Amino acid sequence: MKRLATGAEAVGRGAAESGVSLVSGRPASTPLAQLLAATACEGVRTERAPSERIALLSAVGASLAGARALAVLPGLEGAADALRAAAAAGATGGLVALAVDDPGLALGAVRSDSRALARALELPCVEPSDARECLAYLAAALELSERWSTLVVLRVTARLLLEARPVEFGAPAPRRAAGLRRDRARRVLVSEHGPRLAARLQERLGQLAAEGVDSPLNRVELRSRALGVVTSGTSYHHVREALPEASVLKLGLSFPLPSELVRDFTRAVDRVAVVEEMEPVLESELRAAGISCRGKDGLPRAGELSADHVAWALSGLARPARAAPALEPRPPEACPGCPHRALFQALKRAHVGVTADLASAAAGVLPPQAVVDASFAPGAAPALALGAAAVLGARVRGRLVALVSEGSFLHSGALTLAHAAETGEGTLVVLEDGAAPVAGERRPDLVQLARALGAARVREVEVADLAGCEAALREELAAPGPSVVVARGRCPSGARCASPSRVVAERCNRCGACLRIGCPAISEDVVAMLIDAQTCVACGLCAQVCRAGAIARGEERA
Amino acid sequence: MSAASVILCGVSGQPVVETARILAEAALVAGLDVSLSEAPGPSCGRRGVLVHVRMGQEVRSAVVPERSAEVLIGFEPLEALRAAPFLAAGGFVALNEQPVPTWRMRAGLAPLPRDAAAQLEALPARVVGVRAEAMVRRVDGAPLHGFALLGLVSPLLPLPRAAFEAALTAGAPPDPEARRHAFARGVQLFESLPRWLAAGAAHGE
Repeated sequence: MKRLATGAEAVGRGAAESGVSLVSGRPASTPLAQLLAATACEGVRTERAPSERIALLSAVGASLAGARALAVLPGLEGAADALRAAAAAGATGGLVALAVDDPGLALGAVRSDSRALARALELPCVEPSDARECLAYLAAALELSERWSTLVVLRVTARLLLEARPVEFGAPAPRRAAGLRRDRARRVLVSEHGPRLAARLQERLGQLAAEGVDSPLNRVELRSRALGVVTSGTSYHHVREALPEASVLKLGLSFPLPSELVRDFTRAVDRVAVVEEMEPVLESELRAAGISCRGKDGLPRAGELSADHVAWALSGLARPARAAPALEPRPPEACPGCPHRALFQALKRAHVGVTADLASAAAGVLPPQAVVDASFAPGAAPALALGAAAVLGARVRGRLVALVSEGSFLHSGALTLAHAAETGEGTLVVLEDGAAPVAGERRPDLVQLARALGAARVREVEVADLAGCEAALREELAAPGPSVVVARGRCPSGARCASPSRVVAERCNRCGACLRIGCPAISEDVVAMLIDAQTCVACGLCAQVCRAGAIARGEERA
Repeated sequence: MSAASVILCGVSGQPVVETARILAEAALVAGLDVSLSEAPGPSCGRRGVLVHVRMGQEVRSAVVPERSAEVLIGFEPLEALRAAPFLAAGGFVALNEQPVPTWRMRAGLAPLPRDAAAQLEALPARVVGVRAEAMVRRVDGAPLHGFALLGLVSPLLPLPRAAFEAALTAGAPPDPEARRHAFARGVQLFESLPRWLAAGAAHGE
């Protein structure tokens, strides 16, 4: 029976249907968390790993044990060294690394094209174009992986994982792991084994390129001779929408490039164009193979591709000139009652520099609170602070705070703390940010962990307690030696209250202090500030920042 | 038949994705091919939400081309204006007129989108502005206005009423009767519209 399923649900289901024993991933964003949740099925074990490397290496371990395994990665770069090793060693049980690209920059400021990285790491790359193919191509990638003893990259985009289509679900088919078998020449990566492994890798890529010519993953659809489009992934559907008459070569196994197939296709059409999102990866390969084509000369590199872009570039339709009205942007903001708002207010009052790795950029990063000065990659904040303190020494002593989410701390921030404990000082705040542990998931005790790593001082604060956060920051910034503040308190999502706060208009002097905590319930009105009773959850932070004492707990709501 | 396209937009916390899912399920019940495409975004906090739903004999791209959505369901006026480039000329807009102000609006640094309906009408589009939250009563805090807005646009879509009814109550929700009632309120409102506004109804008359 057909069901409406997103790409994430289809991959999760596909894992169960093709007998994957272990799915290990880092749930760095909503689509990835949904995918890991969708794998819940008898016979599939799901591990939520703290980092991309650990997610991948666990899957490699399962493959060595003769089981099918899927690693779910926000991107390939976080596990690049482990992927390189896995490319050389190859796989035993079917081994697939799913990589999620974010061409629209919806999940972060940095984007990288996993198709290009897969090529650099010499890993075959499979690209589904919709939810149906997410399920089918996972099965195909696992078979490819076993046939050629190689790790295979399954490349998707964030939008594809969220895109729902009718998908035919089959039955789960659990498989038993074959067991460990010794093969030191392939699995012990010492330089003595290097030349043979490198030769085998090259041979494998050549064989895969030949396989790609006949593979059902690569499909030639001959229609009009006038234009032939080479494409892959979601771009395929944009091409079919915009150019229904064009002939299409759809590459499901896009690397290694099946050059013979591409050459045959280009001979069958008069004009060749490559349609791809992000970087000109296929286009460069076609050009390197001596095939002249159109590509990024008409299509954007930045942003998500749509059927419109394809039509404007290739069908001769002119892009309509639009006088788009300037609309007020809606940057993400924290919910009313977000407990983290108090901690950010305390950081603001402390007048410190803040490096941060947060699971969510909603509070504290963007105006009006805007306390974060540098935010890079998971686990980076403590190292950034350490480096700055190393060169500035006394000039930043007591004036720099590194803020990490629990996930970033366990990802790699904790290692910096261990390193800093030997030499340095500084203040690290670990925030219980991001998703709460799912049932059965165990997380280490952050206080014990920080002590064991060598922090001189460790204390806990309630993150929603403004006075407590201010006192903790003041004392820890003044204290010698590295200190850690564990800020407790998770998202109380869906909280409502019976007695919202209200503004006593006669006392309000319209100073705007309450507005600057950025609460969605508070706005400026004609004579005084106004608290929207429907939105307010009575967290009480506005009353704590109001110096005129004009905010009172309201009456019981009817 | 080419695909019928619906844009749903609003602010996270509003039942935008849930409503889109019910619409897509209804299309599946009616035996059509369907796609639902949600713009990715951060998991936490309040942000704009934009979902494309397409249905027809065969759906290719899940992303609606510009100026080709017949129907737009706006849960919030500013986000409806942001989604306006997707709307076909003369398309139908079900607009919840209650704005969710941004921080700059709350601080008086930017005006509230009070003339959103007029701006959409000038595209041109047929706009029905409602105070959707007030239209249907909430049961234990679960918002129902998504069902009412869906009911309001349902006669314009190539789906029988029975398909919507099946999708509304699929998966044994705790409040099937309240959902059906909210949906029916939307359909009633559509039926009371003047003829020029209600033109193009697939199952009406």
